[in-house]
Amino acid sequence: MIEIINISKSYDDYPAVKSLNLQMNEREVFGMVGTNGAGKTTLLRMMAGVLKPDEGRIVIDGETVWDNPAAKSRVFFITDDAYYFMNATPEDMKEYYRRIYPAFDLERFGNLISNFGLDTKRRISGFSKGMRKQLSVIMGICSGCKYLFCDETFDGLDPVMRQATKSLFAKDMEDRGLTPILTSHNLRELEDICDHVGLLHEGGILLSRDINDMKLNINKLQVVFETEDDRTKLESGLEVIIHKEQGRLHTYTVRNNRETVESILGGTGTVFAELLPLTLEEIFISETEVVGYDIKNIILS
Amino acid sequence: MTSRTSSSPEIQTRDLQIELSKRRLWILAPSILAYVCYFILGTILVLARARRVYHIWYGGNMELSMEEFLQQTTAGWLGMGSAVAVITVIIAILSGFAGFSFVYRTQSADFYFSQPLTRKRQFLNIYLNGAVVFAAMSFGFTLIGLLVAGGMHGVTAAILGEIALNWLRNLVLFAAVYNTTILAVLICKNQITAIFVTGIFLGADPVAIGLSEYMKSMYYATYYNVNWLLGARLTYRPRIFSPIVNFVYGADVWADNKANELAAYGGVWKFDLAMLIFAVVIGGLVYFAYINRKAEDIGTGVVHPAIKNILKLLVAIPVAMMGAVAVDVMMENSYGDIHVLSIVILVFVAAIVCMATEMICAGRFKAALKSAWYIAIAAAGAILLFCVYKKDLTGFDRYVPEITEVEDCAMFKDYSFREVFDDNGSYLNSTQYYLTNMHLTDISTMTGIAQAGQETQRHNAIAGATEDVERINGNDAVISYHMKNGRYIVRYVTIPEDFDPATMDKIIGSDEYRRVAFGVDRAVGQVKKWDAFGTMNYNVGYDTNMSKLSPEVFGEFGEAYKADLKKYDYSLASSEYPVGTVTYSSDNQNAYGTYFNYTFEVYDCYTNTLEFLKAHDLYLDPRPDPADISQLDIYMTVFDEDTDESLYDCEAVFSERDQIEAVAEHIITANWYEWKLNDRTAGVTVSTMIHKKDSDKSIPSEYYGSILNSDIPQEMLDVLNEHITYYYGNEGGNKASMTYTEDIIID
Repeated sequence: MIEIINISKSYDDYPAVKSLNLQMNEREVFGMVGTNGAGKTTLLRMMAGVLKPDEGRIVIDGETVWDNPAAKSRVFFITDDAYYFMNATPEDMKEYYRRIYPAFDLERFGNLISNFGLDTKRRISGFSKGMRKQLSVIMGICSGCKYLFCDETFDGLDPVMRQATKSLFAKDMEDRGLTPILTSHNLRELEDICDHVGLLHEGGILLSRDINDMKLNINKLQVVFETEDDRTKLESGLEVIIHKEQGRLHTYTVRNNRETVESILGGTGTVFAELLPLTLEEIFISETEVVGYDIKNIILS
Repeated sequence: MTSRTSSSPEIQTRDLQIELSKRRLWILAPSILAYVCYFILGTILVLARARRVYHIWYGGNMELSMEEFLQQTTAGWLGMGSAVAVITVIIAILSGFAGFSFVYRTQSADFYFSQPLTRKRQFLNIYLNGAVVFAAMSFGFTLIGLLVAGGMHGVTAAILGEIALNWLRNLVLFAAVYNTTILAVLICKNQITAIFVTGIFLGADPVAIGLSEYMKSMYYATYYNVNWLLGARLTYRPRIFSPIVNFVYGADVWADNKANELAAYGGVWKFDLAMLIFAVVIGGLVYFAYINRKAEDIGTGVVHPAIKNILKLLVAIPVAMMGAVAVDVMMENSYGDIHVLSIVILVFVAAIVCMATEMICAGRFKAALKSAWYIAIAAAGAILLFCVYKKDLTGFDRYVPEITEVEDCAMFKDYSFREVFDDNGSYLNSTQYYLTNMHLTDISTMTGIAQAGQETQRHNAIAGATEDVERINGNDAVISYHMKNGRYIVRYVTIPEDFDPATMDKIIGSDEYRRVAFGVDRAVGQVKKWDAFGTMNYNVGYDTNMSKLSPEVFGEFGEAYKADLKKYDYSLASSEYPVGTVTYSSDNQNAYGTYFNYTFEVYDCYTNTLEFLKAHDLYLDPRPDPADISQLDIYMTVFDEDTDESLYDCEAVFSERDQIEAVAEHIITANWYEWKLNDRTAGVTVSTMIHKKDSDKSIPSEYYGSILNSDIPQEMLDVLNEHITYYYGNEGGNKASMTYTEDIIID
């Protein structure tokens, strides 16, 4: 488990991360989403032991990360633009990583390289961006580390590769308890892989929720009431997050489960009432509008 | 697939070192090439060449055997002071950058810092890789070079020891330069800034040394540089901030010790210790800097504003000061008042440097005026430093050491006409000779003379820069204090003309002075040692007699001259001109080791010497017979009596008997003398007849002399003033075009 306890980090006078608390469970795919400058990469770099927090601490499996090889040996950090030695080939990088991560799986490396169609003797400097990302994912998988930090890794992959990578993650999660932590601009990108999503904005966490819980506990409701009293009755019985009115049509986003909504609707006089499914994006927008953020403008689609 | 939740096997240091070494092939390859060229090819070529040129250089003079010559060559190529230190410095700098410049890119920083290693282990791993690779490489190639030299008969046990010592010194030098480079890398945020800062760290002290000497020569009127003459052993001191300087100084002291047949390592240890201490201290700072380096310190400038500001001032202050100095140089104003333009330029340069530093650190032009108040600090610092030299705030020109701290002194003319030779017949620099051989023990008298001389020297320097101050006439001299701590303090002075002659006599008339200044015993001893015959000349200006003499006879001359020297003192030398000059020169002027040329001025009161000259048919009357003079060609410069500026030149030839007789007795032909000051003199070419000994023949001859203007009769002066050949000043030039023979011969 990764615990982020009251973490703050500033670059000169610019606060990149502010008093952030977060918890990431094992065997779950945790996705962090946010715009540029939200603090995703900064947080990930602190979790990887690259940056030292100004305040707070990050604990991985009970050990503080900073300057701690025992904790860092459980982590493999795949950066947005991975670093490779000058004129190195995948073979060279494999040799290096296997010395740094003694549990490196050489056989698996060979298989994956072959499956992904990468040439081990070819210079990495000649690879495309996507191929470099593929290689870094392969290195991470084969390192044998428990936690895999992927900084916008999926953003450069084509759909086929993306799916292949997701499959790899799923397999390793099942086989050896791999715990991927992903960051992305794109909420839709994370929706079908992540178990848990955190939304960062301006250095802080706006929300961090289990995706299923979010989907279960937030519902969208469109209603046309018979009388104003019915409206009042409904609104008092539900936890309304957002309410929009178009003539007699009322659209509510409520933080209640489906059963509760249906139960209250049953006792209210309505001309029309319908429960609608919400996408993850809509859930996020709903949650953040409540606290005053017009998240539509900051989450890229 | 196995679970990886248990702790992984430990990372092996050997594996890390192998991987790091693979990344440094781009340094290893050229380094190995350089070492191959130096230690293998270079050693072979140098010793082969030495073998070939041995016979050319030494010929029949077998002071060194072939083996000794080869060994000497090996010591020069592989021993202390060998040029391999240049390779060491280059490798150290490259290794420092190669190992640690990964901190300048987020990509590489993330790569390295995310690895499961503590900062400490990571630092040691990278650091030691560079050091161990260098140590192994340099040791291996030094050994190979040694074997090559040994195979060519160029190695003895002593040389082996010297080469081993040199290797150790190079190791320390590497550590010092390596650490300095890494420190620069770690306190900067990008490679360009790091290169500049490395240059500042390594070059600041040597530049400061050079700048200090330049400023002293520029502004201190009594400054006189003798370091190059005294040698490293007597002048060099360990530098706190420069390992390269300490390395070079140590090698120079070693060479100096060997040349003076002293314990070779004597004194060298101080420089090596300074290098080692520097390396260790900087190494500690490097470790601290790495452990505390933030991975996000990437971009422009340095990791802390305080570092930037210190570097800014370190560069801005001396550079701004040089701006002011440049104005003084262009206006020839070393000793004048501080010119307003100097301050303006100084402030301008301070501003430029400060702004440039900010722009470089921030990576943008708009940052130029950030922390602008540092311009004021830099300017103030530069002005203060400038004034330290310009106004001699430290009292350099006034400084006279405490008598109790002085071992002995020396005093001599800056330029001596007397040539000095070592026992091998090679020229000795006369200043060096006086510094190391003259030991005047009347220190209180010397300090009194020095005080007056230093004051006058500075006064005259200022007089040269301003019209309001008149120059004081006097004798230029060099005064040296040999301190009890072994150091030399030397000043260039002008002893005023009216200085108490009795005080000067105490020094000039002392045996301590005369023995060294004239070097009679030295000359006689050398000639006897070489058993060299020579030719003695006695020159009185208008004529010269010469005679071949044996060393024994020269010894007799020496005794006669030494007896007469007891009459020599300042009072004599300052009031009279010598009547002639004796020189004794080797016959074979070209043979190595036997060349000599001794010069001794003869005064009218030197009865013993004159008797010797008469006894050996060398004597000549100090003045020619006026009847033998056919004409006098007098050329004179006329000065403005008030301003002392040159007005015009004039020339005239006089052939009337009464004119010749009026002037002839006043003609000064002596060229070689000290302590005699001249009034205004005119030049004169004397056309005369030389009567040859043992012959009826007389031959026409000319000789050159001078005459005091005050000794020229007025009527002749009038004639001269009518024959102007050149005007000085704005409208200067040759105004009178005249044919020499026809127009200016006056009957």
